[in-house]
Amino acid sequence: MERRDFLKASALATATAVAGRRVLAQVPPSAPGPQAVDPALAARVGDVTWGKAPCRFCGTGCHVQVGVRGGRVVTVAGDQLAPVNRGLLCVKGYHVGLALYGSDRLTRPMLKRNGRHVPISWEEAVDIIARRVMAKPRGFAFYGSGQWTIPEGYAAQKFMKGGLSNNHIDPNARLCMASAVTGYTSTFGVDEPYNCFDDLEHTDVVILWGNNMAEMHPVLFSRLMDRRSRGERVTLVDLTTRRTRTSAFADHVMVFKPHGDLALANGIAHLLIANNTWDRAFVERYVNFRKDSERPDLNGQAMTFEEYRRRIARYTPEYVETLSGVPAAEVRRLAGFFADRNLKVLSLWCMGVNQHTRGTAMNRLIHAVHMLSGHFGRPGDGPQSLTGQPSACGTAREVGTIAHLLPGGLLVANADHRHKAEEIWNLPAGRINATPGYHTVQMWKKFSTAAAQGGDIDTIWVQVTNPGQSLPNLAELFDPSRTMADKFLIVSDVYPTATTRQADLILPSAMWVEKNGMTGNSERRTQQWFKMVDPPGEARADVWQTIAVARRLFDLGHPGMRDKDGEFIFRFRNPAGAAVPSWEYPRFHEVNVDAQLFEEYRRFSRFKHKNLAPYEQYVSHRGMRWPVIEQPDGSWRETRYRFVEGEDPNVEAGKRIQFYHSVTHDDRASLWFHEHENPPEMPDAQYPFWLCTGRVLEHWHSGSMTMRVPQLRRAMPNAYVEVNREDAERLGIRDGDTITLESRRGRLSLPAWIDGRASPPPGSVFVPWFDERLLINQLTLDAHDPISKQPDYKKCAVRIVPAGTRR
Amino acid sequence: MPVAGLVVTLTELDLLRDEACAALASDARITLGEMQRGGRLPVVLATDSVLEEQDLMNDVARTPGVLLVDLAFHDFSDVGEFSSDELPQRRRTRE
Repeated sequence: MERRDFLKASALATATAVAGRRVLAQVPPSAPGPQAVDPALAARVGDVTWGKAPCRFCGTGCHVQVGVRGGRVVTVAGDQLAPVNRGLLCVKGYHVGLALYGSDRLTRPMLKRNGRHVPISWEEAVDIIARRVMAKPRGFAFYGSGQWTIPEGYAAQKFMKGGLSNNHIDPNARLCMASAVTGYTSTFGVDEPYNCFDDLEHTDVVILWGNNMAEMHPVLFSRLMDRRSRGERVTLVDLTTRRTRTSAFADHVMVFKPHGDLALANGIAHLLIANNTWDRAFVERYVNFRKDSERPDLNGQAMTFEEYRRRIARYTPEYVETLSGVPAAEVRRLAGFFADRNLKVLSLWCMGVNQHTRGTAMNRLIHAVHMLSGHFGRPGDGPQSLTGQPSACGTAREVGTIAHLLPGGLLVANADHRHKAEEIWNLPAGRINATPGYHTVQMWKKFSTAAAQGGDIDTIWVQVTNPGQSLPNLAELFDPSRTMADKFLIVSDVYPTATTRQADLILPSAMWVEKNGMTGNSERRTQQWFKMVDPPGEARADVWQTIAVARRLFDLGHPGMRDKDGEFIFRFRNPAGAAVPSWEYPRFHEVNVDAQLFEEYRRFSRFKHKNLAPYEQYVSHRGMRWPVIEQPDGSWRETRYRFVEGEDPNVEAGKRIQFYHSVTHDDRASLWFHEHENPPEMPDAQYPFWLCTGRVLEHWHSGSMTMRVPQLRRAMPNAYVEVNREDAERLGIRDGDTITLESRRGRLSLPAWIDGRASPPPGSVFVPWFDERLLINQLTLDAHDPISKQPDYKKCAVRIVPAGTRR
Repeated sequence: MPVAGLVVTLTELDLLRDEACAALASDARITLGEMQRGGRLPVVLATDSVLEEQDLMNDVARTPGVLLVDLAFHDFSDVGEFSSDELPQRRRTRE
């Protein structure tokens, strides 16, 4: 058989197996799963070496079987042994192997000299960074993302908080899910979803709160659609500010005015109370009522049920209609799903709720309507936030690469927590700074402010993200620093981006299976993979870069790089117990640095009942959901549902549901009330349109990887502005015309797409942000949620200036 | 010369489903597998370039009677580094 025929036979066998599995709704075993490679696949394509890895892109955490031949990734297949995706991939995951091979990979360190980037050695690059940090340790900040692997984020975290006593480390996850963190923390006392993707197979009604799931989490959406194809009834309710691809599959589409979601949630709660369909037993046993303090914060203050009832009373369907634009009858329909306890109701949300100046409030209110109605704790029946990055949960939230956190959900402001961290890191008492560092918006504002005016951040090291494109209000937060001589920007990345172009120092990074890695997806599933191919040129793993700079600081005499025994804070040993200088790159791969960092890190995980298993367990599984608890027979058991008796081993017998991290220390969750408020900027006579920004199916994040994949770039080559047809006719705009959008912060010209892929309501426009040539964040607002500090990318006021030029 | 394995979900309407199968089968670059329950059809695309593959995949998705296209397998061992010349022009319009 010729090779091509062989490949076709393999492709057919794989697709047939996936199709058959899905029809039968077989869920692959989550544990144990000893084989890293699907044996059937390995047998079919014999000249390829296979390995497992989670996909590089979103927070779903699909597993991919990666085929390597001749030192290159040549094949990818959806992993049929993976519980998350069961052999399926979306269009981005399908092309994930190709994302490694764009022709313009960064391959050498480059320093900006006289306005041009020139190659330098790694030794020089590492020395430059170390000397800048040495000169002004408190003026240094580290900016990462939910694309940091767990060991990468952990190394950065330890370097900053344990080494430099500097808490100015924050991830771009601040921009996408910080409001989910504050929502969970203030409701349940601990971060992250209590439930998991298994809900998709058990639920009767899915409520999508501003979540275009068909494009943003397509594999999860396929799992839902798969149930329909088997003849099961799954009702889909799409709460949205514009019709999307998801709307086409929805049973009910409720288009609300921007910011109207708070009113909708309150409308549901009002009807539950007014119609006496709330779950009195659940509320009386498991819930305390809470409201904001005068100045909004994480804790708020107690309120009685009677006060709650009084305040929710005005959110009648008719009043909600005036606030949200959703007809009163539809508000009643929505509340009706929650009123029926024979149904299982699953709420899902992502950026639409989180990127919101009331993001924390909105997260709390979704939890609130579930608890008020008792739709909580059964498979398929509860609230679950989704994430957009592969390790927003695993790294940003669990490792805690956030300005106020330590690993494992500990807080820098808590003396006991600092003490615990100092013990694990073997640091002298008092090393860790008690003051939270700058959050993302603050950090970049300080960097873009002259030192004389209080801009006390003068060096930022960016890894695994692209703030020159992704920050809001770029003209305020990013651009000014690029004209200030004393501000130094270091960027580690795999491709040239809007940020590397502006950088003073560029470091070429290894990507995905060019390095070892671990990530944590949206359902608390920790995943692992091994390096399979070499990175191009001189590109190196981010974790090595961090450790190398730390070691250079050690050599320069920085006291923070020593533990209390005087040893370097990053130490690695080979199996024989001999020390290995992993900061020397030729010796970096002598030991599994990831495994050793992870084993240290997982000691933190027990403090907040986020227990992780030993590294080797993740080698042999397609991820495990924490808390992972060792069983009497020595095996390790994951947890599908936290706080639920019989599922979560931390719940005491007879409790049924126990919120054991309760903020009120009585095993009860907090049920919050929040008033509807108008957003900080609304359309007016001068700027009469709403602008919403977001993503598209083909491109991930800022497009720096997916725009290198020919198929994806060809399918969606550039950004555009979706304009409502009526508005277009009124303004004389035709499809393809270049029009200019102007906000109070900036302007941008881009092609118009009448109605576009989705359909914006009259008076609103939508622009995707993946295109580095069309930076919509020149226009967006940096106003942010007062608690989570997450900016609102979903709504600001703009005007349209038709240019009259046709593309 | 990439090879792709897809799972195509077809409509429940028998006539339209048959027409969709016939339309897909008429393209020599497409190989159909055995229909699974629930209207799941394994499909293999074998094309000469990744760009041709993309076009063909779009055609499959647009075929009347096709509801969903999911992806399961992708071999691109013959595909070298991508030249940006073959891609849509990049242009800067930042103001």
